[in-house]
Amino acid sequence: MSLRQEVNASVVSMKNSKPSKKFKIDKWIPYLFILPSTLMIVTFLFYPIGTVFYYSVQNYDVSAPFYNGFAGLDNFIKIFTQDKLFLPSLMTSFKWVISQVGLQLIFGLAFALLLNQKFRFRGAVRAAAFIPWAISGVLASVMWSLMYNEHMGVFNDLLMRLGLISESKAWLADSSTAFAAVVIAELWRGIPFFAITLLASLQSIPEELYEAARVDGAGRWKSFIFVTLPQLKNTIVLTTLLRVIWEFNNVDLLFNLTGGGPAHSTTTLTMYIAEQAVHGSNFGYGSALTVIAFGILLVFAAVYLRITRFERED
Amino acid sequence: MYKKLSKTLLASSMAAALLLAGCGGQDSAEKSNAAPKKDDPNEEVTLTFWDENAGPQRTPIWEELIKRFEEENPNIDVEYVGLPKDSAKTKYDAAIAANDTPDVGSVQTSWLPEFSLRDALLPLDSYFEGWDQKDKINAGAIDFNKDIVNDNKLYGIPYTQNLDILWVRPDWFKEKGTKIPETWDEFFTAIEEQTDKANNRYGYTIRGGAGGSFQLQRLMYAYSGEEEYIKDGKSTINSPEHAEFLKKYFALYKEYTPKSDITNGYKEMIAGFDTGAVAMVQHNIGSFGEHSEALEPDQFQAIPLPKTPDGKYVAEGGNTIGVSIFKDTEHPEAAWKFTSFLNSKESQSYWNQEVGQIPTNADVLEEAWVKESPHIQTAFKVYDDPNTILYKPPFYLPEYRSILDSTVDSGTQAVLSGKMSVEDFLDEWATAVEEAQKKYDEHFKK
Repeated sequence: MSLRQEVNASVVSMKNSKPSKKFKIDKWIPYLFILPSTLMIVTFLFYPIGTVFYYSVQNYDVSAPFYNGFAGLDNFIKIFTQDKLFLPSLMTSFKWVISQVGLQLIFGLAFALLLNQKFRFRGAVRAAAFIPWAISGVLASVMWSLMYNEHMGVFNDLLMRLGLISESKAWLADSSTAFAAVVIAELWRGIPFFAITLLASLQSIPEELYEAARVDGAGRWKSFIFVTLPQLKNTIVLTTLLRVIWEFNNVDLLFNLTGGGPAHSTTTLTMYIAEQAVHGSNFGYGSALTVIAFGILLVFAAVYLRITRFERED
Repeated sequence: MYKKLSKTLLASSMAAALLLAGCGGQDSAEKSNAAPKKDDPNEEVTLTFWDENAGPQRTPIWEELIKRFEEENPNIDVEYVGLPKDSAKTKYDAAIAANDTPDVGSVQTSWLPEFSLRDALLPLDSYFEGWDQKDKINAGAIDFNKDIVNDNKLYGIPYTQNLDILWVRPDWFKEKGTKIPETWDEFFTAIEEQTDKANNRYGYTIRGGAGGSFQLQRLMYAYSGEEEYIKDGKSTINSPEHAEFLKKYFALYKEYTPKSDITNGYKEMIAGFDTGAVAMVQHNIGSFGEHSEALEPDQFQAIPLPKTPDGKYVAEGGNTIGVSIFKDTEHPEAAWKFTSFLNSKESQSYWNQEVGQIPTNADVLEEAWVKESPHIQTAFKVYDDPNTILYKPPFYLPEYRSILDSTVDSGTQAVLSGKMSVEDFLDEWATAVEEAQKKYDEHFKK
């Protein structure tokens, strides 16, 4: 018996005993069921979001409360006219999101296709492939910072033995390599997410579709383009959308590996917000930056969903 | 069923009402505390104590002192809360903003002006005046604490003092016949002579990452001998001497230092010295504990920062940490008892000997371990010299720390990676200080 039927049954039984109350209960029960989750969402989502909007038009610095007060649009004006770090950090964010999501999707899809083949020890290999996803961000960043280390890192050691570099490099401390180094670390951690979800989706594609394609003379490549990809579309849309938002807001690896440095070369907008609000305790200015980030993500999500729905109707 | 639901609703709304009432109750309780009542000396009280530099080294020291205090005062229970050094200031800031401060806290002297402006601390003048040990505490440090706050009251009793120095490897210096530097020219020469990149050995290490700005500033003023930080609204940060120094100093990077220095925090910098990769490092006497664990006694030595061209030592004022009582405490008498206990001869002696820093209690200075600690004697050489220049950074500016943390730390990295000139870097730093000063003057109508 489903929940709904159960509710109906109890309503019916009550109707028999107390007919006068039937109308009220019918009307209120659904609301009572969603009340707990609504309360949670309002308390932990809407209220904090509201305060961010409120503080974005305030001067609010906990270390200098005597300067606090209504600021109007001053914070926003400062961001767009004086702030030398806003645009560069926004650009770094775009670079970060595009490289992460793009590469994770490509490698994740490749992994999923590989793991979907039949071979010996497939179960063990599948389990191993998903380990990075299960490792906590802090632990992962400690491992990667050791591997990138200038004096004892395994990368320097390997590259020197192979004769590719002549003296050890400080991968995370050089502004020309720091960004790429963090991208690789995050890529290692993010690929399994795509691999897991795409693999699950691959397994749900009916074998008959491939048989039909073979009958029509399609080779491997054509089956992939005309069967696999269209069948995976919904999963790809959803995972990339989620991933774009997650990567945009991601700070753990960046924070632990480079702290946004050297010289802000790995400072994304989210890192910059953390620097202003959490370290600088300037919550007013940090909130204004957050409002802008919120707007960017909102527009992105709306546009992205519109485009993909448009395709579905096609 | 409906009855059940309505009961649940009633119960939850009652719980909510109680919760709200609870908040209200706390508010009114706080208000009634505004007029402190006389403490009953035998009343059972619990004090919360915050440590601003918790970790495996210092936490056990505090726990031992608290144990001793509780044995002496069975009716007072002290709860220890350890804050990691890097986030301690943020935690205090949030606590003050939320009116949720501890009773007693270890507070760096440079935070006092800000905390007192925010009305968070209890003035200790009357308690201190009535204390029989008050003459033992370093009078200069007490006066300094009063001098830097807006209302010239005493908000913290310093229990330890520190000094920036250079740690060197005397064994390597002897081996290569390098002179232990006393002037800035000798400093740069020593670094060059000690560098042997083929054997993975560097003459020096720069703290390019978090916290580097505070050390950089102390080096700059030690080089120039400039006594004022801000003169008539203009900062001395971008003086030509400072630019001259930084050009030489930053030129050391990569040439005579590890490449990863640009992101060095405290741990990485100290690790460079303690693992035998670096011959000389600038830090304070407080890292004595780490060096003595990693190296043999003849492998590390503390020396003062080089003298100015006219032969004077320079030290930054306010390099002390004190015990403060927060205004919202319900037990000011018990809090003072604990504060004075921490500053007693025995407590200061134990704490400072374990950490390796300078006590402020005159009785402790007479103890044998102080006389036998070469690094503390090095610090005395600087502090006791009548010609030593003690410059005073603008701790009272609320932006002071964030300028150093954001503008200066990232500016240092920009210069080290060749993206910015030393002059632009110093101008940006000076402008930020001058703007903060202007805002401060306008607000407090000086």
